[in-house]
Amino acid sequence: MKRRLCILAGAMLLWGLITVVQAGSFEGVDAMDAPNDDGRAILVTWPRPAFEEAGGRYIIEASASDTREFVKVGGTLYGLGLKSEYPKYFGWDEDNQNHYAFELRQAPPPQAWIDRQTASRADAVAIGKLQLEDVETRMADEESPRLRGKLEDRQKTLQKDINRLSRALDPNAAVELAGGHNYRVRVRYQPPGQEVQVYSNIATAAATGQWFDGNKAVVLVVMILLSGLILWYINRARRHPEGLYIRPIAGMEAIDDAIGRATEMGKPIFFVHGLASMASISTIAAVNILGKIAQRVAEYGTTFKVTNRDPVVLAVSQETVKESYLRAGRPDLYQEDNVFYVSQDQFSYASAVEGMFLREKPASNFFFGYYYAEALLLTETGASTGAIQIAGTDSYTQLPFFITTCDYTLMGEELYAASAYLSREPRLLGSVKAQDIGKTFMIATIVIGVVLSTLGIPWVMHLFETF
Amino acid sequence: MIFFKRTLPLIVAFTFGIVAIVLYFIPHQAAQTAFTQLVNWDRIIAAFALLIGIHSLVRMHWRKIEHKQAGWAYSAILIAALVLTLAIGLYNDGMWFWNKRESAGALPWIYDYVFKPAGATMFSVLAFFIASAAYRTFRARTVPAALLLTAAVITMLGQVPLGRLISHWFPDISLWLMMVPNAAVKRGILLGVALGVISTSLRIIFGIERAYLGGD
Repeated sequence: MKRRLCILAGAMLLWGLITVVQAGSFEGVDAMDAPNDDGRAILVTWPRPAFEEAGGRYIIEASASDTREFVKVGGTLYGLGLKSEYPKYFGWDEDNQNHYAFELRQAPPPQAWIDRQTASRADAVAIGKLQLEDVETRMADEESPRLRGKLEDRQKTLQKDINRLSRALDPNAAVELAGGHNYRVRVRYQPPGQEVQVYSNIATAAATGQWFDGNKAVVLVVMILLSGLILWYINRARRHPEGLYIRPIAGMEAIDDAIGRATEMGKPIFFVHGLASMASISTIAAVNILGKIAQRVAEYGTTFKVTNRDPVVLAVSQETVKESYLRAGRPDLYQEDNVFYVSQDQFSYASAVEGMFLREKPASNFFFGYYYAEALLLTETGASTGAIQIAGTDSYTQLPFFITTCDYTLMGEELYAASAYLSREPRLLGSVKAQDIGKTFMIATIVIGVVLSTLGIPWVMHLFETF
Repeated sequence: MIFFKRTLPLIVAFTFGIVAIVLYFIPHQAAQTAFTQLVNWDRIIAAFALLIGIHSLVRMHWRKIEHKQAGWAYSAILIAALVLTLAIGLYNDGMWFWNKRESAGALPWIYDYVFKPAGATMFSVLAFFIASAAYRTFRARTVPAALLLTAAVITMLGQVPLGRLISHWFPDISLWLMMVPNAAVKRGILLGVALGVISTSLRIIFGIERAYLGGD
């Protein structure tokens, strides 16, 4: 009898414990591949359950296979991490306030991943051991105590790396999701101040990469429209070159004056490139302007110096200036050393060019491209030497400094229009005209967007949202 | 020859221009890996191009020394510093250049105690240059200059505790100036720049703009 009572009491205790630890379950947890991504995320969503209380928390768990344990991979608190916080995936639906969402990017690794990592670690350990052997051989031969000390440090580092790589991989550690692998996901709810755990249903999903980013569909449409417009105007300008008007740009008009001034004074002209590499469109625009200026300089026979911060820009500039001198019929005047490399470091570049300004006292300075903090250093020094200065940049943070210290400044888009302005080539002028039409379209969109948003219709704003 | 000077660069510009646009719209891992590869190629080319830069630098300064041109002593110092730094870098604090770069020794010392202070000095000079540039700009000789001066004084007072002590309006007006008129102008410039970039890119991709190749 006593034994039966003990069994009954034990069973009741166990049942009580189970009810404390696991007090029911909830449904509705869904897992799906995150859309418009590179295939490294799964979205876990679930409706806000009726039983949730303020202060409660949700724990998200994942497993890489049916036979493996669930591992905690993330969590969220009551009222936080709702679908409405992820418009990129779920839009701006008001119902999103009633659902939770979790972006699963890390989970326990699948067995195939563990096997692959183990094999690559074995290779790394083998290489490390060879390096260690080499260091130990050199240590035996080394007589200098200082170098011996360095080799001992290297030996310790290598040994530490080998020990780290030799340790077995933890199959429960969360790592980046493996694309295409099916993961099991569940959510655990924990009410505030209680040990109770409410488990959800188990959902399954695999992350796969997409071949088109739907979030960029509007960008694609606008790009096609603008590109079509530009190409159409270029084609039109080629057929009907007459009547293409481009408003006078004071800075461009002053180029001839600046070159003429230098010629009269017998002083050099400097063309100072910005800091951006050849991959930057502003540098390409600057090189286009350089070609046109170099041709005029060659016609006048004035000394022309081009400073470069990037070796690739240097190579392109040398070729451009050389061709311009050739076109002007003065290849004999071209000196390769006048288009030179200065330094890749920002302030070394600035100080070197400032030094040249002070020593050579140029009559005219041109600054075209993308600039950072060195802009004011360069232009203020140039202004102090009395040079006429013309600048052009799309770096809006440096525009105030150029306007302050230069005689003429080409702002933003004017830098890109300058090449067309100088060459008067109909096809280039056609593209500038298309830019103006594009600007009109943008202004109209902004006005419509402002009016609709003020009236409480935000769809235009959402249409141009970038994620 | 014309093929290598004009046609091939135009084909390369067209192909990679289109590829870069297409890759922008593909989030798939394979496309992103391809894009990373393109960026890596660019870096490799840039690394090799540095040799062209060094060649240009040494040649120009060597000629200055050779012909004893004005300021040739600066050129001598530059070449000596270049050779010395290169030799110290190759020596790698006794471990030589084929081993991992050492964190101690003469090279980090040059960087920490010569290069960095020199750069910081140049950056500090900027403060004085800003003062002189501001003085020129803020002379209230015209109505726009007077407006600029007023806006600048309010913005500056709004950024420091003194402004708040004078009136709580200063930080508020300063914030409004920064967030409304300033941001509006900034965005206007950026929209124009974006259109200019699209237009220039298309001109390059379709071979309409060729000045960067040294031609018309």
